[in-house]
Amino acid sequence: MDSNYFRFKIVRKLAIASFAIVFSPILSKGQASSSVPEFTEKLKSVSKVGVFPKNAPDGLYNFSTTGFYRFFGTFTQMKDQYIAFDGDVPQYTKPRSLFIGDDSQLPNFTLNFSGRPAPNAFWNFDLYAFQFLEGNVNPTYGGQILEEQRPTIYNPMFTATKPGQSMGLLLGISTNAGISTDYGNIGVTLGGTQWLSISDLTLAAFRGYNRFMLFERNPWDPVTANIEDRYNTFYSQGNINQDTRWGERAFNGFTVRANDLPGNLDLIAMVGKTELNGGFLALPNTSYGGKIGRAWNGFLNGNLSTYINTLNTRIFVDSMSTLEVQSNIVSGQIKYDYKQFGIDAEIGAGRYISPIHDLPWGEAINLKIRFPFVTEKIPAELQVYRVHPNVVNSNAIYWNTAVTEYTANDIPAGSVGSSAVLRPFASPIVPIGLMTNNRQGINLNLEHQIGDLKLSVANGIAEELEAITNLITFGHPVNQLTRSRFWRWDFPAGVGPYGRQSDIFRDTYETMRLTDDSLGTLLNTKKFNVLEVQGKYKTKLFHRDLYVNLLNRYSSVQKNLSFTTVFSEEAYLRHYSNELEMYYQLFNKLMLTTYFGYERVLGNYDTELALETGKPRDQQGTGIGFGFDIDLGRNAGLYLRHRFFAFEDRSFTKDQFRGQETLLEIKVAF
Amino acid sequence: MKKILVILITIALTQTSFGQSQGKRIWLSGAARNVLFFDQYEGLNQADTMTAPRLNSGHTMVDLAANIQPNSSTFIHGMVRIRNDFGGFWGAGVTFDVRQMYLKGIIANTVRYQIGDINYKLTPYTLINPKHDLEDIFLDYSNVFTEVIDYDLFYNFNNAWRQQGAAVDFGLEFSQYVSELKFNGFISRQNPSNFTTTNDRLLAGGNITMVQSKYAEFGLNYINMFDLLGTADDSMQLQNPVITGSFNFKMDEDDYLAELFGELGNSKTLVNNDTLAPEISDYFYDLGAKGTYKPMGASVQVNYKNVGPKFFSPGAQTRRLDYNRVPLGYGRYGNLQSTRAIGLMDMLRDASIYNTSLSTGLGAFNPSYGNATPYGDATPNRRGVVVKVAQQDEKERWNVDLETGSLSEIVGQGTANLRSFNYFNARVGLNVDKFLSNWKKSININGSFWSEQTTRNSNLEFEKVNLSNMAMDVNLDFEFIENGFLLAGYRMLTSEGNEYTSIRNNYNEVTFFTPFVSDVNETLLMLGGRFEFSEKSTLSLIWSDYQSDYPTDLRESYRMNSMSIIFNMKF
Repeated sequence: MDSNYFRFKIVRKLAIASFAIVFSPILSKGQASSSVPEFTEKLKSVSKVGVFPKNAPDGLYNFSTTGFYRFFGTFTQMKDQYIAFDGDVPQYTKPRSLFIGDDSQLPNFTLNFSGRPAPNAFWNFDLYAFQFLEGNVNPTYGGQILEEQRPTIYNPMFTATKPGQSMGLLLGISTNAGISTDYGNIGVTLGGTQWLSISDLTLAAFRGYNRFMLFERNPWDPVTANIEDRYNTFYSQGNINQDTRWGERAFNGFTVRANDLPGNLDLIAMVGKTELNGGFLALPNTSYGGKIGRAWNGFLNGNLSTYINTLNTRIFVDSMSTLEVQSNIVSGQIKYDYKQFGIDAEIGAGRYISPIHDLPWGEAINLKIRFPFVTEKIPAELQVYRVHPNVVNSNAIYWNTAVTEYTANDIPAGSVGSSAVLRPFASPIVPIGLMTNNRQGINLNLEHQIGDLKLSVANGIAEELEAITNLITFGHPVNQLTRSRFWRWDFPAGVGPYGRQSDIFRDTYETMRLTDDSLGTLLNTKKFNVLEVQGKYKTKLFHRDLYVNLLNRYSSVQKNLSFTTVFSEEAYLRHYSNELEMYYQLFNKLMLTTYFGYERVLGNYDTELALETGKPRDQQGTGIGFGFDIDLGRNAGLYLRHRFFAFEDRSFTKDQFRGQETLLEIKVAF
Repeated sequence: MKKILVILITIALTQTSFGQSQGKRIWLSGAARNVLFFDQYEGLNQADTMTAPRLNSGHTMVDLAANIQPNSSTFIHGMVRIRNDFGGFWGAGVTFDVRQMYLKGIIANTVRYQIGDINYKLTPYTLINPKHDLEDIFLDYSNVFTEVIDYDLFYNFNNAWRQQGAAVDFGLEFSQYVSELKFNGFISRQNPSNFTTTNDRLLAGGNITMVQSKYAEFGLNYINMFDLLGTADDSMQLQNPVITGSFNFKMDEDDYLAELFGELGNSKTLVNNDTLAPEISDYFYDLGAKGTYKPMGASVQVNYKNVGPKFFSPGAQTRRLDYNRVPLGYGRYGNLQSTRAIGLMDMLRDASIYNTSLSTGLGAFNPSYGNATPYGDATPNRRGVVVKVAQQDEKERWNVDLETGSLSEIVGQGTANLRSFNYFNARVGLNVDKFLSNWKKSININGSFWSEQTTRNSNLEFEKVNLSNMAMDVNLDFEFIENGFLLAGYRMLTSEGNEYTSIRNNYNEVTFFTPFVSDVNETLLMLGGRFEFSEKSTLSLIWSDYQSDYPTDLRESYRMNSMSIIFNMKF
């Protein structure tokens, strides 16, 4: 020890002396003063030095874990293979394919964690894992990370590949709190993904009129307490139990909800990002808006509520955030209910601005009137809508078919950060209730019950406001999901035979070109008709419940306005689909489901013609299926489906496929 | 590894209900947070065509810890952080990481231990995490931003430093002569070996506190940062031991409280097997007296201290703020895309400019933000008197804290002339609601003022130093509805004059000086609100207008507006 080490020798001497005098004579009498572990109880006194904190952390007020395990497997056998990618050397779908997992990109295993620090606040996040059962048995599902990408012992924090690549968060993290005050009830949510809707013209996802088939389940469909509930609920209530995202849009940011505010006001305010301007650039790509409304209970003996809604989206396409893509919409909305009468009128204006657009405000109208049609036994809803071509808002329930949107980047549609939308830019055939811009229309929905037969009929008439595109797009309801599984994991456009198919989330659409333009100048605005007929029936067969669900759609696109669907060659396109399902409770815990679907799609000679036959589209698709729902116990079910499918275009001869598909789903919710 | 921990915690979570039913053997704790910043920038000197005028950023995160007590004498804590950046959908932008882990327990019902992540503190001259620049002046009364940074960087544990290592402590009680003896010891690793040029660097130390009676308490403190020779090819070995003694005599009567206290000690810094390295040692002492008149809640404290110019104590002199770092938001700005200096706004909300590891060298600092004691109480080369006066109303209607210091260098830097540092700061808090008999909600107004003058006189012009700093802060915290607060604050700082900043080599020796010219005016206006959903859940919305002017400086003046949304949960 260096002799100069202690400048103040007195320090050491004092210390040693005091230690020797005080400590040694009485050491044997000493006893531990720390008889109580610090981490179990609060201390009476706290040492000023040493380890901090001195006490154990508090606990959560409440913690819950929910989630599900979902096995989903598909085995497809193609008797006639389909050209997935056309070209000089076409790529066909494989004769057989076995796929474990759901191509809708939803995981097999999801845990939802939620914790409440206090009764009125909570956070939640999910944790998911995929399980493809590919036989790559490794110590972990993520597989061995390449050696050069593994964390090193010397610098363990650096790694190019994140460990645990088979796990992640799907819906992210949300923090929530709410409080009830004398001035109203206020709730806030921050983070995301949140599920939000404002109104049909501003922020919402398509709900439709509950005209859909049940044969094939969605990944998010719940496991019902009784195996029959799914079908019974659909029959009796017109819908099945949906999860929280039904009709809502994904949102990440800050949301305030308030109701019972002074003046009987309600409020939703939000600022953040939707999927369309998501991503991690610090540029202020933001969506903001909300609604404020007031309820007038007892108004004209009914209930009146009024709202002002708005949604505004900004995307900057340069690093200086000077080039801006902006869409705005503001609307006023009135809802009034009196017995069987009701009005939901939303009228607003929207615009679209980009570096290459400066489109002025255009009108957007969505009027729904509910009333008894002739007799109270036939409730009806009349929808009248008109959306100006300049109103571009891909967050609402009208598709943009009029403006080629400025894309902020080259990220493919469907990917995070992409500003391209998956929807078709063309004149689509849409189901009743779904709108597009550059279109006005009238839809009449009628319902009637005759004994156990519930009928629902809708007739829709629409026309374009301007002749903008010579393209028509349409889907294939029969074998819809089977088709979408020809292209897995991404969403390619311009694929399939003749390059006219596009794959979107759990669906595909086909593009058809009209040829009656004049040297590229469009001559006609297109008129659209849709007739939807739905029948639901419940009866007993051998003392067991039998449900029947019929859904027929007849659509046409033509030059001239028509009261109902045009069934002649006057129509550019005739699109018919007929689907029939039956569900039968064989035993208490076993349901038999069957499916039959048939569709016809016909084009006329003002549409593109096949080179090989010189004829327009002449398509026919069929689907026949059966399956079982088996109750595996509380919140657990096994769902087996088998489908024979076929499709053929007699004019465009390359466009055909045939095969069969078996699906197995086992879902356990907890 | 991170994922494995996630899975372990997940498994633990599923056991929670079971664990709780068995006597709280497993429970969860942690924090959740959402932060959103909407920033708007404007260059003030000329039109800025190179900097984005608006930027957004934010994140949501949950820190989830499993607290496991397998038996009555053992406790395990493991925390993971799950974070989702603003703008992420469907799993994009999600990160997992381990935030902290430790095991603690008690051996034979006598000796406590903790291993893993530990927060440790000794004394102001051995190991302490000192407040950052102007923290006493720019008080975040509403605790909106500070809470985020302090939590993230582990600054919220009584000025302890986050260390990774092990600690033990135990105590002995006696029946006569001495009331209590407390022993604390720890060892932590500052960096691992790279097997070639860097040895393992450890920090070890401890404290023995003897509580003789309620009248007297003595402490012996030791800490040493040293390289563990042989863990790498490098034969050089740093050693920086510091040993101090401390005392506290207290006379507590009904109306009066009189205290005498102090700490004094010595440090040595050397690098073995380095022929170029000097062996440096120096001493310090800090002696104080404090008298309190209880009926008035008034106290006066006088300290005299002398901290040698070569007194180096990494555990006490490491700064929180690192001025070599670049702020995350608008790190480059202006038409020249210059590096933006850290300003008041960044100090308030940017965790990335703060430091979490101990440094063997004296870190960079900005003399405009405090020149007298940039390294806390243990700032070397200072001697002088510090006087503190405080008074707190017995009905808690107001409180006043005044502090003035007159310090000077002990040895001149580059000259025989010495700098002198004179400063004064005042803090006043008014609980207006206490003056109003019928008003039940809180109304707090707080103000602070700071003035500091640094001078060095000389016949030679280039040796002269004259730097004037001034800052003030006024805050309003008004509970307008139950648990709902309106917040308003204004703070400003001006600095004008010249100084020289020291360039130090690896051995902490001053080798050169860089002229430092200061002419800066900074203002920060904040308006907003805070709502306390519960004691543990707070939502704050703050709009701020920050302006940094450099009237004669080459740096470009700028203005930054921000909207901050911060939601904090603790559990």
